Amino acid sequence: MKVAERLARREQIWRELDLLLSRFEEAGALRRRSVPVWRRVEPADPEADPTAPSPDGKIGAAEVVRLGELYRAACADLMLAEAYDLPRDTVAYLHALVGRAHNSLYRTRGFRVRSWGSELLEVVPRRLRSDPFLRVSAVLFWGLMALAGCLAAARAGFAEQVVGPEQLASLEEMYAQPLTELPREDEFMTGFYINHNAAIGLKCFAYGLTFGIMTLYELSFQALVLGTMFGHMATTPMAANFYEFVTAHGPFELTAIVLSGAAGLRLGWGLVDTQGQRRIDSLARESRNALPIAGAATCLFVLAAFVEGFVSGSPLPYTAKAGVAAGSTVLMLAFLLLGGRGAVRESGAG
Amino acid sequence: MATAAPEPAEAVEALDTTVRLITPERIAFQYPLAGPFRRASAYLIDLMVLVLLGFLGLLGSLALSLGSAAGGGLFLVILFVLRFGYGALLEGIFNGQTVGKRAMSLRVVSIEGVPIGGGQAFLRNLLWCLDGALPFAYMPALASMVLTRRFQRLGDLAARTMVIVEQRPPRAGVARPDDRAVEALLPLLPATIDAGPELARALSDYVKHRRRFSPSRREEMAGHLARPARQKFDLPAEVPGDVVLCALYHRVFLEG
Repeated sequence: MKVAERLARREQIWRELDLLLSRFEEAGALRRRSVPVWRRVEPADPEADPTAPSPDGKIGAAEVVRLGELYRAACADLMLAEAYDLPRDTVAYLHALVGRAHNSLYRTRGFRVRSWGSELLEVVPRRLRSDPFLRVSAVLFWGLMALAGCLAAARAGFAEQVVGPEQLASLEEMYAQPLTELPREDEFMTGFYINHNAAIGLKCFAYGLTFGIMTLYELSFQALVLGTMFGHMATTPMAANFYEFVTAHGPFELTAIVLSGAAGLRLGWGLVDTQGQRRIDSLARESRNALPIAGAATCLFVLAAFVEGFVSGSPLPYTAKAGVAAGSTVLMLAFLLLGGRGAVRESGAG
Repeated sequence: MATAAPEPAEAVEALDTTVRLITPERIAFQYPLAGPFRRASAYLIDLMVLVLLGFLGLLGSLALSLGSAAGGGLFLVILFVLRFGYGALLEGIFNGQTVGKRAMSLRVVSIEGVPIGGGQAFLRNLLWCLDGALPFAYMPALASMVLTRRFQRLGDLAARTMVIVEQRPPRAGVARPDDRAVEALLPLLPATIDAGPELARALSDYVKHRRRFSPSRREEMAGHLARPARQKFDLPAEVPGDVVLCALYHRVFLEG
């Protein structure tokens, strides 16, 4: 048979597939929604053509089945076209058509809130309990912070050298008055803390890609600056105001930094110790494992921002703020020690 | 779902920037990969959309809070969500496409060809922190794209994704070089010509593109194939090479 005739016979199938794909792509993720009134098409006779667009524009089961049939037919045509050396543009057309159909049939699964919830509340604590990176990150961060704090409190010139005199002056000025006399901007400060601190945490995680070096730097930098500030403020008359402010959100925020550092270090170590895989694959494996930890850290940052915005600066008595701090510490310990202790469910989605 | 075709050990793979996938239907098909320039233009479009969304967010938060400081807080939260969530959410929900990628007909898929999951979408967009404008002015992304076969930036490497071009080439059909001279030449050719794959491909490529060239250029290009063809089939020497190739094409594709 002539090549041209052979192609003409299949041509109709390809065009039908092309049309159907355009409709699928237009409907996209909103496939189950009905189409707005002005875009609805004339109702066709459903008896004659089961794949005709339904009046409300929804894509039904018949269309999906038909798409499968047409896709298989196009696949077979593509194979024959390659085997029989059909004109190159025909082959290219078929490659593109099959590719589009493949992407319409096999779609993203989107975001499943429930599976992410179980990941955060069950898998993450289980992983963190046996996570060497969490220990490294915690020891590094809190160790450096304590060291810098002691040095700043004990040695006179230390704080000026680490943080800089202007920064220190503005810090002292901020806490010169009791918290109750400061103008209150709770909502603004909450937004500011979310934007600023959570971004630092996520950056800390992403920087792990540099073999963990930039994560280590970021973690140490934050520890030194925070530690120095804590130590320095203890030697000033504003100590009471300062510590009253930082008490409530401290546990959440410091733990969040440690967690995102742990996630970043895990990413970096995946590049160093490949466990016999290729370096790229090892990186991909560890980044999959580290992502939920970074997610948990982001949640903690957001919690910390709300506490910082609404509780820390509020005129609540100090005991209430200390209670919030103790409560959040207990909450995190419970999450870390008790989370995911139940029976391990087989997770279907990878 | 498709799997990446195993890299052929010895077979010479084309130097093209395509990636070959094998579907569960056991069909191998190709995607063209998206290079840095196409992706940069998609990124610029996304940036414009982001600026627009940020502006709308600013207006919205100002309107909601009647200009008090709380609106500033809401705006900062919106900025944070846009910065870390825009690409991830769009790619996760809309099958690997942001606005810019859709405009440039690009799509993110995982390197096995299967659609990306929500986690992959978040991961590859989170790593803009290292790939992006800060701290290294896009250099990590560019270097990594140049160095990897699939044009992957660092975020793509970590999330095992790649960006492909979703083409829609027009359906041209089989070219029909109808010409008196061609028809006159047809009886001189044998009834069937066993054209191998290379000859068939060369003929179809030539006939598809010949209209774009001047007659003398056509003659120069067709000469390489027409000369041996004239000898083999005993064709008169004064027939132009262009006509010889068209007649061969006619016999192979339209009658064969």
